[in-house]
Amino acid sequence: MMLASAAAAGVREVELSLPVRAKLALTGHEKLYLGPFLRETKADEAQPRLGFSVESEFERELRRLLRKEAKFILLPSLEGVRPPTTDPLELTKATDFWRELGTRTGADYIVAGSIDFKIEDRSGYKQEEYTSPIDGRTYYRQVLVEQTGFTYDILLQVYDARTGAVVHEEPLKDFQEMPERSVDEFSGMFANLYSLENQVINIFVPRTVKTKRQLILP
Amino acid sequence: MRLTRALATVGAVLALACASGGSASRNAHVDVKEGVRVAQLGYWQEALFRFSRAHETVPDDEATLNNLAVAQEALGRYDDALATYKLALKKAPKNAVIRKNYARFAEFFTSYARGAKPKGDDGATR
Repeated sequence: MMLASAAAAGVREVELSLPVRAKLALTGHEKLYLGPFLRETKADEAQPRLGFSVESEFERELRRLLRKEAKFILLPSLEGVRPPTTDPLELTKATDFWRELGTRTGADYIVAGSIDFKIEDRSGYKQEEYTSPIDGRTYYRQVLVEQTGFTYDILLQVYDARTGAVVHEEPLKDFQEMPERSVDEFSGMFANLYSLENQVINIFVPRTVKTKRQLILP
Repeated sequence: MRLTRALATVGAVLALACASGGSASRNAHVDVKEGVRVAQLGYWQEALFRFSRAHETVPDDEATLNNLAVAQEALGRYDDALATYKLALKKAPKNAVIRKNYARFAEFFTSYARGAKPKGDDGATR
């Protein structure tokens, strides 16, 4: 009755910041051990030669993020700890390894997983329309388009350090396209990491997402 | 004579009732308008109060229901928002604004709001 002509009366758009719960129900004060991370290797694909360790850089970035955004007790890394297997699918089966690592470090949870970092060269020739200033006719010409892409694929796993069982698994993937081939792998990888930052941290701590809704005016 | 008096009394009572109904409706109108204004400023608690009060007066009004659902959502009362959106859609299934808001809410509600608990645990945190 009162707002019978609501549709005609108009709407107002509002922005909401919605609280999003963390994927893992933690108190925020647990002791976390980060690593080891496994770099995925595929038999049929040659790994790019990089001047840095993808897994160490991810571990360092994750430590920085958790230190900045959360209040967990981050335990120092132990020397010489290697993943129990080279097969990412076998990681969760190595419960003895994770339990033992938990005992050695005194952690409540272990954050580990596998990482795949790929450089995708998408350069190639592209057909482009071209109008000649001399005769005004339209021609087609081949133009070399240089593009480099970086794909970062993580399977982040959180293990219960008491039992060695996996309590949470989160696949995260990002692709960053760079217009020039001169962009180095290190910058490319960090572009991927910054893009995934929000999703990574949301596993451990609550976040907010911005979204829009419409209110109806009387 | 008596009949005339009785009829006059009934008429007066009816007129009063209509007047108070109109006044309540006007108040609800003001509440919704003010609720929208404060919501745009980010004062969601007040907006929720305004929309709730308007909803008590005009419970079937689809626009009030839509605004109430948005306010509930803004304050993290997702279960209430879900129920209110559903009620709004029941009243006005073809309202494009409500449908759009509800679609966005449903997407958010299913993919983000339900945080996972550690598997293989009793769910209690240590």
